[in-house]
Amino acid sequence: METLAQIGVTDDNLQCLEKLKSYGYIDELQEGVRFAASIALSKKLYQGHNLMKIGTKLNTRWNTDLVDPGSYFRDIIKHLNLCPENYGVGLRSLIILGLDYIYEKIKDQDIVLIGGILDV
Amino acid sequence: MLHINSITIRNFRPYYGVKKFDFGSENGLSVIFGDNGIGKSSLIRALKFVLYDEFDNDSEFKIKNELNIIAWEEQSYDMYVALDFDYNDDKYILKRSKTMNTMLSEPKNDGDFIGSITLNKNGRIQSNDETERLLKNIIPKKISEYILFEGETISKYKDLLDNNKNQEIYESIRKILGLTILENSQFDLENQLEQYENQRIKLLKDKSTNDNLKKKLSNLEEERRILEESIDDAILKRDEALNQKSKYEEFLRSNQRSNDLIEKKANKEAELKIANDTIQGNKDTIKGLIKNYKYFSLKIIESSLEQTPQDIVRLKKIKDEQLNKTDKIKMLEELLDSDECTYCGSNMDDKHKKIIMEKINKLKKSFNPLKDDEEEILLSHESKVMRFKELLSEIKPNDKKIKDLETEIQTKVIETDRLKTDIKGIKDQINSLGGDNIEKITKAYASIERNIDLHNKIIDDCDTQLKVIQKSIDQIIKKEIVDIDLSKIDSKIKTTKSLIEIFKDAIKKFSYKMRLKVQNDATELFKEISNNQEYERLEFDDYYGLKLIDKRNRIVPNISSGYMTLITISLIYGLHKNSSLTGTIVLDAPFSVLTDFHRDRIISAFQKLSPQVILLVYKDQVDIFKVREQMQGKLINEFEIYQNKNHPDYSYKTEVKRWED
Repeated sequence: METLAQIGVTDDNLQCLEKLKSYGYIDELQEGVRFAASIALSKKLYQGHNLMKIGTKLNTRWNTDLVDPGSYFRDIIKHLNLCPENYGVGLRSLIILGLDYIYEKIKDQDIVLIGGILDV
Repeated sequence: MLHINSITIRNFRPYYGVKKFDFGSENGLSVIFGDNGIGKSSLIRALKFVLYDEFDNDSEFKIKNELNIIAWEEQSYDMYVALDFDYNDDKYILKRSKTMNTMLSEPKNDGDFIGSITLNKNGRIQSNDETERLLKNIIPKKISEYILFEGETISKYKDLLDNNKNQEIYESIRKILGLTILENSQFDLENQLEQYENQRIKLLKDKSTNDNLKKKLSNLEEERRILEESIDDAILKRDEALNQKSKYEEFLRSNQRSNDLIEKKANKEAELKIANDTIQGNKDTIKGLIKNYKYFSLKIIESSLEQTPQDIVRLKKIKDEQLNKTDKIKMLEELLDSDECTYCGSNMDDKHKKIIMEKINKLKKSFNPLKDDEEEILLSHESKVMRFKELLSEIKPNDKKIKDLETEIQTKVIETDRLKTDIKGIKDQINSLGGDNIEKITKAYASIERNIDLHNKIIDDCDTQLKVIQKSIDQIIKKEIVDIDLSKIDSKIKTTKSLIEIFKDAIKKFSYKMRLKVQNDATELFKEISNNQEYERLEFDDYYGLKLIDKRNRIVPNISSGYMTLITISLIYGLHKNSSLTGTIVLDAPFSVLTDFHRDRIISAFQKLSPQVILLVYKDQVDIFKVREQMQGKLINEFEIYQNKNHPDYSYKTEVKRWED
């Protein structure tokens, strides 16, 4: 079974993941985490934020390779120069920002609607 | 067997220029006579240098101390020693040299010299690794003390008598007698045992992990069995209830009113199922789309590829221009080299060549390559473009839109709510139908419908749990649980332990036996060369501490220096006779404390010591005529080393002269 401790995100982020899971949109938390990171990139949620600060605020150092085994996010973060100090911290920040954004939209919904927040 | 054919020395200590000691291939005694301080001991040092790259001085600039002073003053900063020898039917020439680095005018320290070694075996130069390996086999450094006997080495043996225990000599005696080989084998076995024991610990850990997994698997399988039984039981009960329900329905259908209501309810339930299936289907589709997470960040990659920063555009332009210029320069240079016009084929005269040269110079002058940091920026951009294109090719398109699917879900949720309300209303109507039997049956019908829902819920819940358990079971099975058998490793450990015990016992017995043999052989020679009939035998303790025992079995106290030398020579004889080491022995001035009688006896014993003995002696210490007589044709070489006192700097110019018959 997937342990929540492996993915260090905020309580709200976990609520968001649990809601997506219970609604039947994801089977495993990692799927939601990847989706959130992708949304954060698509929406450029990183703009105006210090990613080093966001990615280290929870004092967890979980290995982001768990959710990015093919180095997809890592390479985008690297080449867009989003968090040159530490790509892993950069990815954690994108996940937190993405989940915050999604949760803000769905937390009060009975019927979960995420289609409206997508560009594609 | 080792046999030294010749030693050639150049600019080493008192030997200026090239000097050679040619011993030939015949076995026997070679004597090198010389006054004190003119190069006898230097010969042993030359051997240590060529064999082990060893200098016998403690100064910071060692080579300066070893290189001949006159050669140094003449700025001839090179020296070498070459050793021509036979070993086990192979012919070797070993040469070691030190030469000043040619980039320098004067050496300041050892680091300014380049050392080189070459080993020629049967006419073929060996690689450095092979040279090292061969030298280690032929004359290992640790046993050099059994070949090259300097005054100091002999005094170490005398320590055996004085202190009764000299760890260094004791260790090397064990080595020469082959005891350390046995001990090394024992150490190897002990290491092997340690490895086996570590393997056993690992196997035990694996076994424990496997046992835990097996236990967990067994528990999960039990849980699965219980769940499967529960599902079977619920299905059975639900089917019975469905059967009962259909009977009730049959009865109720006989009544027109109830029949209409049941029909209506069935239609609504069918609609509800379709709506729920649509909702579930859409959710599953959305789940699939979310799994294709890369698609949602597609645009950021695309837009990044579409927008090339102005800086990069500028740098690319400069780079293209430079490449273009490089190509042009190359083409013009080729044209110049060919002397012939590529276009018209006619020979170019100096005027045309000058024009081309001017063009080349003009192009070179305008050449303005990118700076390193600019190249780096360009490279980094190219790497980004390449990677982003790769990422794009990995992204699969999403054929449906989440938004559209969700809109349909919304509609269907509203529809299901309405249908549920309708069905509830119909059920109420059925329940409220009047008449004795009708009322009874409708109540039973409502109850059985609730039971069917309950059984369905049990089946669904159990099914969900079953999936979770099955996933855990699959994960455990993937880990490949194998039965671990410890008996093999236990058997290996037992065998190795037995072997170690056998080796320990063998070493003890062999050590004792060898000590007795060395003792007997040393005593045999000692009695031959000693003139004191009271001295009966030599005795060694476990550490090769030496005692001289007299006829009345008493330990002889205060042994004279002369007798100590005799005992040492006897011990060397005993050791050589009982070891695998046979070959040349070089002895430096062993006669200083001996009487004429003992000197004569020792010389005659040299034949026994080794097939080839090279003796370095102070010329007044031996009577060469007597030696010739005693050796009965076994004295095969006589050299004299001397210095011509009429020559300036004679102290640094030792000459070698062979005494012919």
